Formats: sequence, C-alpha cells, structure tokens
Amino acid sequence: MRRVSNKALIIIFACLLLISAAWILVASNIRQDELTAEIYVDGKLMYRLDLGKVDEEYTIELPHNTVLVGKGEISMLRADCPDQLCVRQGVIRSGLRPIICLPNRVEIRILKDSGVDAVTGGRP
Amino acid sequence: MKRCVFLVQAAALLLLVLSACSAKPEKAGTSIFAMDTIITMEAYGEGAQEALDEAARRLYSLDDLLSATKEDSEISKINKSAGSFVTVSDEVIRQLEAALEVSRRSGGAFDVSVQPLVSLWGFGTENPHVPGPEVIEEALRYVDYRKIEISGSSVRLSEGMSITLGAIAKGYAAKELSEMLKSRGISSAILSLGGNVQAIGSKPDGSKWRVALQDPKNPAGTAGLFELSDMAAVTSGGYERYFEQDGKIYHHILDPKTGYPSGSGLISVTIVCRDGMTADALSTALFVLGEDKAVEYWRDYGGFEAVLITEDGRMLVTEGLRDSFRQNGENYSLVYVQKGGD
Repeated sequence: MRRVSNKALIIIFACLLLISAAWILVASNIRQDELTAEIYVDGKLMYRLDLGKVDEEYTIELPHNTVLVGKGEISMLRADCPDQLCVRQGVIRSGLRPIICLPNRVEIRILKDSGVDAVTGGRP
Repeated sequence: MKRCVFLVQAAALLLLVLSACSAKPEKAGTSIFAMDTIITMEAYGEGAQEALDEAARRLYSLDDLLSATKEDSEISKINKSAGSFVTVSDEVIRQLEAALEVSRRSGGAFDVSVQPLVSLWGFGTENPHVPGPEVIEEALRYVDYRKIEISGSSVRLSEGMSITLGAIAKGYAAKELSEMLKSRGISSAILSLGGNVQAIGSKPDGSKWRVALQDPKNPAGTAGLFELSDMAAVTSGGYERYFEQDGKIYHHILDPKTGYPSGSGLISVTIVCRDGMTADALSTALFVLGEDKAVEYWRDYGGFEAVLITEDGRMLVTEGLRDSFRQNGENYSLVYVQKGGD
C-alpha cells in the first residue's frame, strides 16, 4: 500500500515538472515571436507596431520624418534635418540601439529583451 | 511518509519559483530630449515614477542653466561678459573646477574654452562645415583654459574667449540625479544620457547592471559588456556624430591644440568610475590624448578604469576591469594594461 502511494506521488511530481518545463518553453517562445516597435515624437508614444505581423512593407509619415516598417525590422527612410544621422543608421532589428532623430525629437525603439540594460557609446 | 512530505515540499517550491517570475517591483521609465541628446531613465521601487518626474524637471533646468547655445544660460552670460567677472551658481563653479583639473592633468587635451572652435565648425548647428585654416588659427588664440579665472562664485574669461560644458555637463547631471534618486530612497535605477551611463545601485534582483559597449567599427553591434553597480560608464567616440565634406568624415571631438577633429588613433574611449562627472571629462581628455598618454594618465592619477579601442584594431583594458568587463566578438585583439608598466 505504502509503496504504491509513493510511486503515485513520484508520478504526480514528474508530471508537475514536465508541465512547468513546458510552460516555461511556451512562455519564452511567445516572447520571441512578438517584436514590438514603438515610435515616439517628443517623448509621446505615437505608434506601437507588431513587426512580427508585417506582410508587406509600408511607411508611416511623421511631421518631419518617414518611417519604413518591414517584417521584423524598422528604419528611418527620410528626415528633413541636415545631419541625416538617423537615416544613415539603417534598419534595426533589436532593442540594442534605438533610432534617434535629435533635431526632430523622434525615437524609434524595439522592445526586445537584448539582455542588456544600457549601452555606452559614441552618441553624444 | 517522510518521502511524501519531501515531494510535496519540492512541488511547492517549484510553484513558488514559477510564480516569482511574475512578481516584479514597481518600475518606471521615461525618455526625454534635453542637453542636446536623448536621456533615458529607468528606476525601480516605491515612488519610482515621482522620482523620475523630478529627475526630468531637474534635467530641463540644468539644460537651461548650462547650455552654451541658450541665450539666457549662465554659460552664455559668462561668454558674453568675457573680460569681466560674472557671478554664477555653485553648479557651474563645481563643473569648471573639475574641468580645469582634467585640463591641467591632460596638458590641455581637454579644454572647456574650446567653444570658439566648436562654433567655427558648426557642430550642433544645421550647417557643420570645415573652416579655413586661417580662421582656425585665429580661433586657437582664444583657446586656453589657463586664462579662466575663478574667484569665489565669480568667473572671468579673458576677452574673446568662450566656454562650453558640452563634455562635462551630462556627466554632472548624471551624478546629481543619482544623488537625488538615492536621497528619495531609490536604490535601483539606470540612467543613460547619450553615451553616458550611470548605474545606481544594482538591478532589483540584486545582480549587476549589464552595460554594453558599442562597437565603434560596427555601431549596430557591441564590442563588450560591463557588469556594474553604483558606477558610471562614459564613452567618447567620433562615430555617431559627424559630417561629411568632399568625401571626408569629420567627427565632433576637437583637439584644442590643432583646432581639428582629434586624430589620436583612438576611436573609442570608455571610462568607468563612480563619479559620472569625472568620467565624462576624462573620456574626452583620453580620447584626444591618444593611446600612450592616456595610459600614462591612468597610471599617474588612477581613480578610474578605462577601455581604449584603437583604429588599428586593439582593445586596451585597464587591469581593474578584469572581473567586470568582457569582450564580445573578435573585432579587436584584447590587451590588459598593468599599473606597473610593461
């Protein structure tokens, strides 16, 4: 009697373990599929886009900039400022380095956990 | 029966661990445009949002006080009154004193009186351009930190001079904000002011903040990773703000001795130290000094650690960073720099 109950408990425990392992896997996969981009103008959130669900490229017109949205990536297509640094930055696919247009106060950010909390670099 | 109890305990523990994944402390984040850059702040804990709101207000007022381009700033007042004493706030005096120390120690590789050259080149304006050699020569006559006089809370420049705190103000702001946040009981926050990162405390889970170092040769990627708590990491590099003329690239870090963008052979300099203001000034100073003199500076004065990346593909890491920095990828050959010399 006692032996049987132990066996049952072990099975229950194993099942629990399996279920939780599966749950962790599913949860992390969901996170990978989602690739959200946010476009801010002067600190205000203007657009939130799911880059995973883009079938065909399209553009978004902002007062001084044009944003190109593609599948899994986003870039600044046009800016009316003289330095063009944001346009030259090209496409971004991760959250590591947002696209910034300083003169027009535009920020394009991808919300993807890069495992990094901040970046130190040449941006003045 | 004992085994049964153990199994139930194990299962309970497992559930606890799983549920802990979703229990997070209060988090607040904001990004604002000020001080000629984008500033991103993240803070954790009770009152985090209010603390960041205050931080943002503080940044705007620092910007008004310290900007070299805003008409009403204290810096503009100093510049407009060159030749006579002007009374300014403590904040300006503290930065000037810190700046002058780095100027003296670097033999003028860092110089707040570089403003005549900055305006000549037009950095930060709509039309940056290469000035003629004779106007650069003329402007160089007015670049000399030794002619800045500080007396109590008054400052005097000699005639024709003008200053900018562009290479120290963001670090000063980072330092001030980190003290303000701590005084409000925030023990976990990370601030990023352009290339200046200020880590306050550790992450909410107690681990260190992970701060990536941008790769100067491939700015979309990273060249390394710092793990820091209560520390500033500031990088100077010419690869993010520059302009092109006649097929040549001109970056924004000017050598106060030549009047041209610094061509020291270093393409990225990162300073790691507790004081964000010192880190900010030092990153520029060492960038202009170049490899040999930068290492010499570190050996002579210490108080900070550094990662220097050279044009010819080497990454020099001071020995104090052995445990808190690791390289990413193989773009550069890593060399540790020792205190005792080689």
